[in-house]
Amino acid sequence: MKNEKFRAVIEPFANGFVKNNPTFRLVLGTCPTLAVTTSAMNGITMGLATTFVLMCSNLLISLLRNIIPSKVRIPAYILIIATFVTVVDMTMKKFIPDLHATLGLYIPLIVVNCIIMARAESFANQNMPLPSVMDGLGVGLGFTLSITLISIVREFLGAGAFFGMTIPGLSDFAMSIFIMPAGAFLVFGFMIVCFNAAVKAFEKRRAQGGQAK
Amino acid sequence: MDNTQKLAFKESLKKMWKSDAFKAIAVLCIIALMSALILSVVHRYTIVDEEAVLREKVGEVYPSSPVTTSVDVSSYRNIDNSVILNAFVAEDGAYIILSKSKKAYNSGTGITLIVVIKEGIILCVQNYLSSETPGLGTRALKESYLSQYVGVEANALAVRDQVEIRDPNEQTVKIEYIGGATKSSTGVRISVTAAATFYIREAAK
Repeated sequence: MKNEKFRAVIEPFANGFVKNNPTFRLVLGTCPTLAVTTSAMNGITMGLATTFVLMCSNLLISLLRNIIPSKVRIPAYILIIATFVTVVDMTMKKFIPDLHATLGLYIPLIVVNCIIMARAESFANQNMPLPSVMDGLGVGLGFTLSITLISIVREFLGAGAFFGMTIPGLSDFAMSIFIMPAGAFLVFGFMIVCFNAAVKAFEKRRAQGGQAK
Repeated sequence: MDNTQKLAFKESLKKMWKSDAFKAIAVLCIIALMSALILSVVHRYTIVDEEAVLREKVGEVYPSSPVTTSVDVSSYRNIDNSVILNAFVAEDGAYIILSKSKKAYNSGTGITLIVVIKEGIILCVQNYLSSETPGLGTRALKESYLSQYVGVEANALAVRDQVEIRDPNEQTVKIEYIGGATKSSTGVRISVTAAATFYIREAAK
């Protein structure tokens, strides 16, 4: 019984990384994924901002799920999500103004990020607060990890740098196409292929292992 | 109001309370109030005194003399594609100008530079606010690139009348542009030119 409860809380968290990975499996939130992944710092900041909004909005939506009439659930979700996005926006402006300026419009645009709406509608609306928060955390960290990976690859190839630190010798041979929108699509597509191939191989091996037992 | 009217009124209130529309409006109003409460608390702790931040930054850029007066830029006629956001005069007569170019790779944020001009010579150019592409456009905002403007006469860069900046070669100062970051380089040039023009016009007063 205790194990089942523990599983109900932990499972949504773990699913966010692989099974429900928003970037590589569900292909949600593509706009920020392509737009802000020009540097690793941008990617990680955007990911963490989205994670915070996901967790808080999932918690509040889950708490209010029996009170919000189904006819007005979408405006209610948007109101809740917009509140937390504004909190993130104001906090970033105060404490990390440079990154706030770099991410610019993409911070307010978290409101319409379909990952958040999707998790609100498909999970938080039907589950208890704790699993909802864990789902938000898992999916958010899955998103953060994915866009940080894309950012690292793009920054490395396009600017010859790693987290803003120029790699001597490499920056002279940087291929700026990877920093441009075309490069974003290339890296994104390539990483989707790699991720899904790795997951498939892992699942196949696990199935073979199960059969052998 | 007699008893029957009171009862009818109570009944209608009950009906309204039970109606879906009323419930929906009430829930949305409660959520909106909650949002307002959260945001007002967060705003209280995250409010940014932009004037203080700017003065601090100006102090860092030009530490040799304290800033004394703030120049009124509200009535200033900006040259094309630029805005003079703020200007200060230091005790030693140097002008510290906050100049924004609307032309940039990310034209939403533009490129805002702090330009220090003293006795007609550009002493310092520093990036204040921009969101150019890291590793690409940001090369035009590095100190090594911006330093080419240091020592240039404001008079040589300034735009006469309301003429649009066309070919940079038409002007007397040769400025290097960065290949692959032409828009950002142009933004920097427009920003510095706007500051130089502002200085010349102020000095002529």
